[in-house]
Amino acid sequence: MKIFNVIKALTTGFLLATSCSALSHAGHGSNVPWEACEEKAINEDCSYISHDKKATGTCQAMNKVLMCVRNKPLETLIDKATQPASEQKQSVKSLAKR
Amino acid sequence: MRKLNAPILAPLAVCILALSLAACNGSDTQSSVVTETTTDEGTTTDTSTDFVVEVDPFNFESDALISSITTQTCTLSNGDEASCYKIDIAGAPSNYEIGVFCPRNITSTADEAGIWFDGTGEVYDITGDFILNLPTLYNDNHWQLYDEGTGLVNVTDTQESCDGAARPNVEEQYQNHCVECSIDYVDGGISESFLIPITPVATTQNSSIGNTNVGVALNGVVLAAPAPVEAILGAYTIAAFDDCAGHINLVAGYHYHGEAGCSQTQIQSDGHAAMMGYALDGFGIFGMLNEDGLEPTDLDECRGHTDDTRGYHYHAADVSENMFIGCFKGATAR
Repeated sequence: MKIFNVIKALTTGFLLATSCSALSHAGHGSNVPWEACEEKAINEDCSYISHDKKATGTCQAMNKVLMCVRNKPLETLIDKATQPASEQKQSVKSLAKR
Repeated sequence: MRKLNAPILAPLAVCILALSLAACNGSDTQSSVVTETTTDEGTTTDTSTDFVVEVDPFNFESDALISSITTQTCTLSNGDEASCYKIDIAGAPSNYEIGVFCPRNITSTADEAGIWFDGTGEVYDITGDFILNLPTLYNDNHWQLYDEGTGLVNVTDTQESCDGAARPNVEEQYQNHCVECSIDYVDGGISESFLIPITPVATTQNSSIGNTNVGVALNGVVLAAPAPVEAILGAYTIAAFDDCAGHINLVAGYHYHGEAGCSQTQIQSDGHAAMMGYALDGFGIFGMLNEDGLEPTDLDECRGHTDDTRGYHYHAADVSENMFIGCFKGATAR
């Protein structure tokens, strides 16, 4: 019974691994935290923008792949096109301080 | 309750590792400026680990465990011999009934279904409108989760279909399904044992989150590693969560992939975020926001910091981020 379980586990593992690798390349725009760390090393600073919010953090390994782990509060972004000119100036100033 | 089937975990781990190696396309570019932040500027904390607080068994909800917490000797990941608590969780929440997951038709409202998040900072109510909008949301016309003739949503509403779809390699026949499983399929929950150092031991080098569990919630539910959303979406499925960010598969049972507030059972008298669980290294995990709705600004790379009351501790990420903490600051039991 134990041998059967081992064979079953190995076979299933191979199938899962190969199928998941294929699926994971489908690309749905839901991988920005990973993309933010594609060319970086662990603990390196990173940031990404998604859903009008900016996340800032460091690259950490999850399942042995680096992804951007946020450690600063999310920043809400407002499109310049929808913002009054006076506020744009103020916002740019606040960005420069960072 | 059912015990965890160890032989199944190995291939699952291999799979998650494999899919994690993917480098996929798709990015967001926006012309934007930063104007608003929500921060906890008044927090006087640091990220040192000089002050640690022992694990308190009484923080767990009584019905969260299937047996009394016991003490045993353990070897930690840094090689130290230590005393650990053996914690046997029930694998089902002690403080609420598991909620609904998938909507039944394209007119369903938020109250009639759960939530979905893909790790990019947004939580979606799985309403009928959400189901209709999937091709736009993911920019792919292959999404068709409902019958155009009847308006009924394709749901894995049998144990067989749950088994075929609630896994990284979704069977082809269950593509374009909303995936859900009943807790009855795992006899009410899958119990699991955890060894957690009684006194957390900070290490000089952080440890990475693997492909298994991150910790345990105080209500008896596993805090799992990030869900493999690319694989889930790649199979044109939505692995629906209930409103507490938990869902069920036949291997792990009911487990969390995000912190939605349902396990924050230990309210803090000083207004600090409530405690919701323990990481495997023994450091406490608290909610993201304090009672004023503010998030700490001084979190380290693991999403932890230190204060005079709780010592070093973590703050869970937002539920939409598909994770709890960034890494382990302390040694875990081998």
